[in-house]
Amino acid sequence: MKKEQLVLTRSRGFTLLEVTVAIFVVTVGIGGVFGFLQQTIFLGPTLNNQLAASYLAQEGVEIVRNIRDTNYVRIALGGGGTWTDGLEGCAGNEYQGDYLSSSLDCFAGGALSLDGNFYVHGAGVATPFQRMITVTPNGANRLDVAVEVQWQERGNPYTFVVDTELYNWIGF
Amino acid sequence: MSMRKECGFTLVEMLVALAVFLLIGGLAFNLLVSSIASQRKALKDQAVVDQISFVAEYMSRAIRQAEKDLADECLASGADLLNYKVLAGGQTLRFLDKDKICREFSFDSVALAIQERRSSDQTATFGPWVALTSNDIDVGDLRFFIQGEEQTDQKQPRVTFFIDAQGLRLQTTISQRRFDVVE
Repeated sequence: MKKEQLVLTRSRGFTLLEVTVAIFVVTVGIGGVFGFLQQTIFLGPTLNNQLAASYLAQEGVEIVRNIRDTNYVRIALGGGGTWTDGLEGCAGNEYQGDYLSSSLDCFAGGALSLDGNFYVHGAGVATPFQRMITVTPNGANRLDVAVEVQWQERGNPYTFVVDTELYNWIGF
Repeated sequence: MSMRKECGFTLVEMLVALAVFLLIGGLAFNLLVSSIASQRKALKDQAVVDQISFVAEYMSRAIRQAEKDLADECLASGADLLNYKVLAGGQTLRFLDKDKICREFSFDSVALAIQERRSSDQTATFGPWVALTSNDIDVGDLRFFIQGEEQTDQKQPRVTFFIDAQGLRLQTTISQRRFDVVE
């Protein structure tokens, strides 16, 4: 009788260890759910910026290509010049380019703005994106083009880089 | 007396238990509600990214491979022959595609969508508009800008487009692949 009473008393309630383990399990569970939640909320805008940055980087490559192709057209029509006109001469081979301009400028480090319709370097509503175009001559008939788009989001820096090579395949 | 004390709860115990239960239950419910809301937003953002990504790629490819309009039946320029033409205040782009079909991309400001239409040949006799984005996303703006579009300007033509859809602002520039030289 005495022994049974003792067992009964001992089995009621939880030990400190049990409570600690239980609280730990609950905390990990809720913490995990909350973490997932936070990720879904924050990944949306990140995804948007990634996509926008990838297309801005593509624009950089296309602008460089457009300048080379314009050189080709001019040479083919007897206008003279070389295939790398407008793609040489800036310090560190660093440039910046706009949709509006048919030539590159030396890189000055500003962010792109929205001029009401398009992304530009210059006046307008500020955007987080900064774009640097690097055009490095690699031998006489090759240009290594790298476009780097950088932006900040909630204090974290992000970068999107596109690399390509342009060749003087016509041989002008 | 001692037995009665051992089973059942006192009022205070009951109140404390209820308060703890309500607190935890309330927190869990809040978490559930906000997670459903953010899930809904995430799905919507995902739809925007998916569709705009598709449209941008689709338009880029068609614009890149455009042909020169030598017959001038698609772009009807009059004086200078063209490679691309912008209409409707910059919200429509017309060009001759790689299969020599006259084609247009345009902004539908009523349905808030991006749409296209094409002719059956190189003349500007268009079929009906076909939407390229669905009803569950709203496209706020689509703009085109062209440069070097004349066939005689000694410049390689290029097209810039800008899409604004629910906070996603995407822009790219496409340089035509066919050289701007008349053989």
